[in-house]
Amino acid sequence: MLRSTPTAALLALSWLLAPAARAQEPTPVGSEWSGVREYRPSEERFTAELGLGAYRPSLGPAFDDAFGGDLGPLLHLELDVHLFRIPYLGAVALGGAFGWVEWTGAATVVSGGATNVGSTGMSLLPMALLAVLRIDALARELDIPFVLSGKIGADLGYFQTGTAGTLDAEGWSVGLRWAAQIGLELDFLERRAANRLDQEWGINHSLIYVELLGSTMGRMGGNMLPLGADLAWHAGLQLTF
Amino acid sequence: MTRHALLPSTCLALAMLLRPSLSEAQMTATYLAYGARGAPGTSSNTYFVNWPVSLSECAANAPVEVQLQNAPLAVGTSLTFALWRSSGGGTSPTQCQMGANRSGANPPCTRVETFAQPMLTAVNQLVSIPPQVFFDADCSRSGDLVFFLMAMSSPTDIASDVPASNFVTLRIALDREAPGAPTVSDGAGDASTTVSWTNPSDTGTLYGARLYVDTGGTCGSGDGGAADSTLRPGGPPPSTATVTVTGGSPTSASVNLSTLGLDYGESVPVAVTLVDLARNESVLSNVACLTRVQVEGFWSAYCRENGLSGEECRARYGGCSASPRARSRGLLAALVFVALGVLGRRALRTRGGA
Repeated sequence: MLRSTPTAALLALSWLLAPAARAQEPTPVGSEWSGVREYRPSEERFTAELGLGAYRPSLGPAFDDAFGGDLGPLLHLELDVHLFRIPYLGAVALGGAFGWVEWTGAATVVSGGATNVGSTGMSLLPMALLAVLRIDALARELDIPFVLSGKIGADLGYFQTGTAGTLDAEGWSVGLRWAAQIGLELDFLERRAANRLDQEWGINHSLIYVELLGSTMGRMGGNMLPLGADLAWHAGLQLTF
Repeated sequence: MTRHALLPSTCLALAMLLRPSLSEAQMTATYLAYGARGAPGTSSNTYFVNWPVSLSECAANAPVEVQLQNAPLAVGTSLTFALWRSSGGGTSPTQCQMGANRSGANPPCTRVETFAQPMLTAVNQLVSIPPQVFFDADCSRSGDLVFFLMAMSSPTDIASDVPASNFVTLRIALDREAPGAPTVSDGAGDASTTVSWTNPSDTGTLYGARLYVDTGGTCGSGDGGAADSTLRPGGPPPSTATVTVTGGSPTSASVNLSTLGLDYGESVPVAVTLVDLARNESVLSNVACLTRVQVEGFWSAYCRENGLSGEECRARYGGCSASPRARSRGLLAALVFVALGVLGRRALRTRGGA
């Protein structure tokens, strides 16, 4: 189609210059395609994701007794800035992640007896600075719509805990976070719509993803509350733009 | 004639035009306060809605303060102020300024009080009227009542109509009925606890509730295991409430147990009364018990599990005030996010320029 473009342009020019004869002359074959440009994907510079999941720190039986099976939920936000691209593999990015999770349970009476003496709760704001390798070679080179990502970086968490309306403690913990993610690109569902989204809004791809993560937050020595989790997860929507 | 010469005569003409309406201004009244209650600043026609007088307030005869404005002093000192009561209440009172409504065998308007001269010495003046003037000396005249305070040439004049500039409507109510007593449940907590109760179904809108804690009483040591307390179910409330809550339909209140001087395991009797909009207070509810118990949440359980006291735990893991080291970590995190934002913006600008 690219080779036929000059010919089509000439035909279109002659059509413009001869308006009087236009009504009588038949429309040249192929001229109706002359205005359609070839789709060229825009450059991917960012990845943003929003997800919900579950997170439970490894705080031992006290946590399990107080909060039972409460999984949060974890609300996760992340923005990755693509630094460079490794040909035929994917992008290397620097990401910032922010989350919020809260657990609640019933407070208990030490001596027993009374019930309904209020609640106990704990909230955590996990934040991370991550190096991200985003492997999209399957989708780009083989048309298999999966994107795999690996992340590793510094994890920082701020916690607050209280009982019956009274703040018991608050503080910070740091550690290391790792994550592995698989994403399903939704472009294959409606490729023209996906291309239009890129042309009009600059959104290259939209994905649904699942991410598994672990953290050593507060478990690397020092006087920090061990807020890290052996395994947590979140899933949601991801956009590259 | 210059423009400057014209101006005074124009003003004079305007003043002449306005003068009759000023002299005929309607007298108005605003309730400023009732006894020890605050100043409602309410128009006399809506006083009943939110500020009925209670039976105890009427019995105490603490004066109702009414701000009169545009009182008809200019007519002369021969005017006598009299209070007339309309037989029609609520929103359609009988208009007592009409002479016909004050005359006849059983007139719909009756004279309640004639005030001694001089009642007013200024056009705008605060007037104090004892509530028993409105509701009788035994406070027996209850309900939503409408009165007319009228400046008349003679208090016995039942023939002539009173002009609008010479009367004001005073709508006021006496609420003799106190609300029913609530039913209170026992409460327990550490530093504080929430006392809950159930209100009777016919209480209507309330002013609030009062909690009475008998710190000298004990629970479960009286007859039949009842509270040994000066608080008696159905009895009169003490003079001072421990906690007062306001609201149209209160059903709970927070009590600070540590300030009551309770140790862990100790209990005190508590009772509640309801107060209606007129400030009528119900009798005491049943007597319940408040017990101070040692409540454990996640933090104390975690510290105990690790063999640490609460203080040691806070010192180790952060405490209630973030340490300088913790603050610097927070600052570091903020800087990282700002840096990411700048990087992102720069990348966007590069893209826009390309």
